[in-house]
Amino acid sequence: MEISLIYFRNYIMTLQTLPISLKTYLARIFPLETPLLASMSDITRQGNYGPQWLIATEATLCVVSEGNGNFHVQQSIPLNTVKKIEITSLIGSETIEIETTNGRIRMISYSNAQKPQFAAIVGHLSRMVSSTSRTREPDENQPPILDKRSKNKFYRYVEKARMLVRVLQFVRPYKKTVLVLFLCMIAGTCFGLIGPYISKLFIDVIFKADPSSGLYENARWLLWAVGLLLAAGTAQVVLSAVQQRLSGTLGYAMVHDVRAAMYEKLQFLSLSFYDKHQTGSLIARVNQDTAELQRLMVDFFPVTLESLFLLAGVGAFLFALSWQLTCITILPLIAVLALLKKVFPRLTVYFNRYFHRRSLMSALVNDALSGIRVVKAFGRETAEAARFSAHSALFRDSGIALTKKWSVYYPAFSFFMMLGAVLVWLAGGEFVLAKKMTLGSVVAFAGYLAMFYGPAVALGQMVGTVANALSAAERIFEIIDAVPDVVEAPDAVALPVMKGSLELRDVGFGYEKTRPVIRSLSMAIGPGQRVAFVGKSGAGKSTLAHLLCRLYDVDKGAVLIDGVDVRKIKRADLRRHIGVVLQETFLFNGTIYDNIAYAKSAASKDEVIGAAIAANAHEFIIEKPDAYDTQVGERGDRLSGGEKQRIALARALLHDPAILILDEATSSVDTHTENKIKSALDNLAHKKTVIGIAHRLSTLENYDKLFVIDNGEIVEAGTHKELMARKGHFYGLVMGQENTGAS
Amino acid sequence: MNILDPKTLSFERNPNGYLDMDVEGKTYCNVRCTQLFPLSDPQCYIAVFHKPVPHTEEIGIIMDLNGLSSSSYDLLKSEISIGYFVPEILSIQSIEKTKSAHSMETWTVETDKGGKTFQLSSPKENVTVSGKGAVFIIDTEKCGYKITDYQTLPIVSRAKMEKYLL
Repeated sequence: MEISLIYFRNYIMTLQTLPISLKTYLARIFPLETPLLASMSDITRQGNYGPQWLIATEATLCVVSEGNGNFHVQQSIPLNTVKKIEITSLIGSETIEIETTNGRIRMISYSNAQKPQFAAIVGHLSRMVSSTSRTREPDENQPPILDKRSKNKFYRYVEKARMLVRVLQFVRPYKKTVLVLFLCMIAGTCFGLIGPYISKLFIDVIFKADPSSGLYENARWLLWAVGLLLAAGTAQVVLSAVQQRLSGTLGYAMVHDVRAAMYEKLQFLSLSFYDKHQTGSLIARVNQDTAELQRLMVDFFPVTLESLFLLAGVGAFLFALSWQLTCITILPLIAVLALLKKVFPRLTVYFNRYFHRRSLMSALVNDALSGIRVVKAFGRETAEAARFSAHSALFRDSGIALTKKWSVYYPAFSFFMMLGAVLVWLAGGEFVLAKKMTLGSVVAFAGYLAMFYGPAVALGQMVGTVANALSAAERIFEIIDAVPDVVEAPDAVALPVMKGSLELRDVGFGYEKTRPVIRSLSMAIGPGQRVAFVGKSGAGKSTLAHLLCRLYDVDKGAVLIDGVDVRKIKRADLRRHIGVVLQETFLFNGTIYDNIAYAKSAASKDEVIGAAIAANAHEFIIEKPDAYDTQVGERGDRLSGGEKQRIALARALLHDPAILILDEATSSVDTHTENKIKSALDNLAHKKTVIGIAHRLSTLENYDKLFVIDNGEIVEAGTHKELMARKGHFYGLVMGQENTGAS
Repeated sequence: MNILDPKTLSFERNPNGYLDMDVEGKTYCNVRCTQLFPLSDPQCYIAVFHKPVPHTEEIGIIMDLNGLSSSSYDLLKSEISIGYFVPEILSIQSIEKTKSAHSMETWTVETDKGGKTFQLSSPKENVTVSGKGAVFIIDTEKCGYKITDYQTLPIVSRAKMEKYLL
């Protein structure tokens, strides 16, 4: 059997990692064959942790186990007897089972940790067994067998660096500011470095009396030196003020750009993205992760840069003054950095615990206070208070623990820094006495050293913060890089006028690709027709509505409007011609006017009033104290369900759409309001294609056609009368509702 | 939507204290009117109704008050201001913390309806600023006050309420 090696390039690694003893064993057992595939499991046949290998050669598939340093072939089947290879998922583990010509065989089990590896192996094995053309390229969809990259430390650093570069790309629009900022930092650092040097001049030159005459010959320089000191100090203050302003502005502006880019992306991502991600975590990304990034860009990045400049400058001066002294005094600094590296990870634990408990506590407050009615209804006030108190106590303890640790560590750092200063005078003093250094140089040295520790420690601390911010950046870019499923086709056509005919052609769809909600469904709706989808909840009615207005794309088949595939219609046209009232009416915080005009930002007041009248909303709106200027509250909380629905209807009607989709638009209102909405619909029925998704079956008489949907299929279609006469599915549904008393 | 042309309308106050509206010879008695946009567009979009309850019937909407004759204009204006009594604050004399109660403030203001002193509790909830600089204030007695655009307030008044204009 000839098998191209290209298949197995992923596995060479695995084969190489086989223990040499095993290789020799295999060579002994199968002298004429070479191992092609191998994968190690972590579960033995007895179900304990331990190694076991699944090995495939050209002709044999076998399982080898190890015991007391010896190998045993546990199973061995000729490849040509294999009919089918299957993976059975268990709890925490999987088993590979093989259908052979001689019956079913349980080959090998492994824990979930080994899943990807074995999934790949089984994929290749299956092809080895079934395929006749054995030189095909490996399937791209196969998971890589050894995801070494994710475990590789070096690779992780590369990733981090790449993330940093991406973050910095957002700096590009502010190039000039950055340049000025750099210049300010460098100049500021230079001016800052002048001070200690002048103190050296004071001692060594100006206040140095001539040994013979006892006169201060350089006294005339005093005023100049003082002037220079003042000038340098002033310049430094001014520059640092400018630099602070610039770096702050830059940081905030940049993070705003990132935030805006991310939020815009969020708006354009398809609903399928939102199905996969919890809204809460997305909110956290918009708010917290960008805040984290902001901390990096605004607070830490400038400090880091400045520290670097300062370190370089001060370091240079230190060495210039006395390299021996530098070497001696740098020792405590090394100790400080070592301590930081060791201690800071531990301190982070305390910090993280502190923040975590704080957020837990605020979540608890939010939860209990929003559910205060339930709390009271069940008389749980005391219990809730106790629950809060417990959490608050945990938070208190974490705060105290943090303070305690901090109170030890911080003085420790200070101690080491103080040690440095002491060393300067110990060693430097000796140098002065031995006339190797002047007194002024030592004073200047001490001054520079004081400037050296600050930035060094700051840089040490920076590492952790940068790491945090970069993982925040990673989460942000995950959104920015996400690709929406539903996108406008490049060759999308404009559809300025829509007649409103709809067709579903052999449509298949599932929110998860593997679990179709709709398998194969076709229907045609003529322009101006009023049809209703009915069926049990979960039958796929709302899904159909989602597909019609292209909130999702079909997996199979096509949705056509006026004979054009919706995927080929310009998004703006599609939205303009289709009005939707969703099951869950959502109003935004703002006035009634804002909410109706939401569909069309340039809508005039006349249009808004017109739409409100058409939706029968006008009459209750004028009863409100501020009429159209009334605030609806968060999510429209200040309005009743029926009012909200009528405003949602007005919003849908504002465009005067050709197609109107009403997803259970009257589900949460009383009969009176429902009649109002119904009569509103009657007002505008002509010319519009109306698709109603109905829960209450009593309101369906005035639809032209009803489609009864069950399990994503049309099981019945016809007018209300026809369907009632047929005594089929629909009749059953109606009877069921009447019996349970719903109307 | 039935739009009423202000030029064809005339209003009169009848002996019962209500307004009668005359539209091209037809008279509607005891009409009531409402601003559709009392905050954002007080001069335009005035809906006019029949008084009789239970079902108020809308006669129509006046697009712009400015087309009315001056007597009708004044009548309608006064009718509206009775029905929608939200004085416009023109200047703020003082805002003082009320000593007796927490987060309670005493505002002394000059409005288009005259001077007024009112109590305001939890200003965070009862002072709302909308996007275009309009401010709406509700005092402890549930009376409303508005400022159409706070940027037009005298600078001293504005400084006094700066902290509410988040």
